[in-house]
Amino acid sequence: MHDFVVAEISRARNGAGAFARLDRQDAALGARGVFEAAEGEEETGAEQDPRGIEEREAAKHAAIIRIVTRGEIEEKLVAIVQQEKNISQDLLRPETPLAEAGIDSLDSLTILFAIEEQFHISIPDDRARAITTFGDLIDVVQDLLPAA
Amino acid sequence: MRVAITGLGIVSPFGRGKTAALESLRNARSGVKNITSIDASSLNCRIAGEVPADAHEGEHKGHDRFTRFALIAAEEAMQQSGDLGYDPERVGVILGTGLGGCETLDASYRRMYAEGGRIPPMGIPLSMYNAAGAAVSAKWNAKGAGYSVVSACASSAHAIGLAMQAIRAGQADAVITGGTDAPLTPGVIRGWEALRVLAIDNEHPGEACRPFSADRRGLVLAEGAAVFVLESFERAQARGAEILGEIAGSAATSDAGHITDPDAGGAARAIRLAMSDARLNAEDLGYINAHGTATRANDPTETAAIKQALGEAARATPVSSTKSLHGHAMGASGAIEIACSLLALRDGFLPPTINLTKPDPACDLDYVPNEPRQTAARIFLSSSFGFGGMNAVVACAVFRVP
Repeated sequence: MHDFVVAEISRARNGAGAFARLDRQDAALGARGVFEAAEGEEETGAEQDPRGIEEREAAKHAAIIRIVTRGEIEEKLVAIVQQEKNISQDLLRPETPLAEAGIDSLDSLTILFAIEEQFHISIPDDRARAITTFGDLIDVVQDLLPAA
Repeated sequence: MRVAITGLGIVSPFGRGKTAALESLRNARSGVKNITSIDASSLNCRIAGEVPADAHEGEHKGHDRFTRFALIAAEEAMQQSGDLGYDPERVGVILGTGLGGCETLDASYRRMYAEGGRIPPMGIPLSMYNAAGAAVSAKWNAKGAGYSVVSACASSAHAIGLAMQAIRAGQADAVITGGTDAPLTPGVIRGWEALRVLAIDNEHPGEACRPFSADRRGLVLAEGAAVFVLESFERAQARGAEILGEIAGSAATSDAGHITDPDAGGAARAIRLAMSDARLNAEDLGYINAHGTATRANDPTETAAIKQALGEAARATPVSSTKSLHGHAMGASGAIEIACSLLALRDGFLPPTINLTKPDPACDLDYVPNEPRQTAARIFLSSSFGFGGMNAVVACAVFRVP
């Protein structure tokens, strides 16, 4: 996992190790899973990040200028999707429509929510509605991330 | 048209399944314990009739706790009923719940208000009151009448009455019915603490709930689900299903009065109407499973209501509160109590009211105190009275274990 780049960004945003939940193999798909993971994430972040606010603020500026490659985003999105929905990686190719991968409209809402939480971005409704394929999803995230 | 019960499933403070419930009832063993599913350390009340973790954990992930209970209970009920063989469009799901998806709501709002976080997309679909019914319909492809019934602590009793009526009216060939609730969240417990009706005895959980006893201190919150499969008696017989009992009648009344203080008149009317719907006389009743919350308000009022409705026969009719053993599972309690009554009577005993050690002059019926009692009784009533003055009584007959 080359998640340090994105992790740096998210840490810069809120001082939390926002990808801690990706390591959780047992997270459930639904409410308790989502909530517990989210709580765990913040607690873990607070414990793991011993830096003070000023130090974190400084790191933030350093982090947001890092380049996030499309490959890195894709890898991260595959992990998020698989966290929310048990789907083979073969089905998560950029050209594959999400519906064909077995992701229904409610699933995509949950996935978008997880992406927003973990990348610390906000995906506008009209952009979300336009997403059909996994590639569209990568595009949206890439557009919205503070790039170089 | 007669309505048969061909399947029963229960997940309760006694554990998972009919056998666990029957064993606890037979041995008068309380399911009330210290709360472990949430951090209760900041609560005044740290006891409840909690479904043991090993009875449900890891199953039906992705659903709220109240839906998971309903799915587990429905699974057991459907397994017992066997292959119904009905057109899916003629199979309904009518469940009752008092409080719906408390776990999801509590977690959602905590995230938003306390942590500055966001409500996840599944917050609404998981917490809505009909989420459990929807999940049960989907799991068993039941495409007939589907709705959920809310009337506080009478919810599942009302649901079972409506399910019986749907079969009688020919609207469905089978209805999966009952109720579920999972109210053990810090917010709900705090809310009940504020009403000052909880029996707070954190050192002696099993002795906290003392219905009809002069030293009663209030109710004990509980959770769980009980689910029944109802079918027309003739069709159930025709397909060779084992018939556990029948729902013989039901009634619903409103006090049209105080929101929390019960009215004996409203309860008595419900008891009379249920008997009349089932074409029963007071002398036919072998047992009444009381609402029996162990609050100051309920127990004398309910006693008066039984006397009003049954007249002289009241003194000869054994009445017990199984809430003394499993606590008050809110909207699920009617279903859980019908399940407990059915299991006990089929096995030939009356379930007791435990912790009844100090007789109360205002509660002077035969409450089957402390010990189960052998019986040949077949016909019973189950009463549920909800906040808002909403009363539901269900009349049932039991088919004894051969």
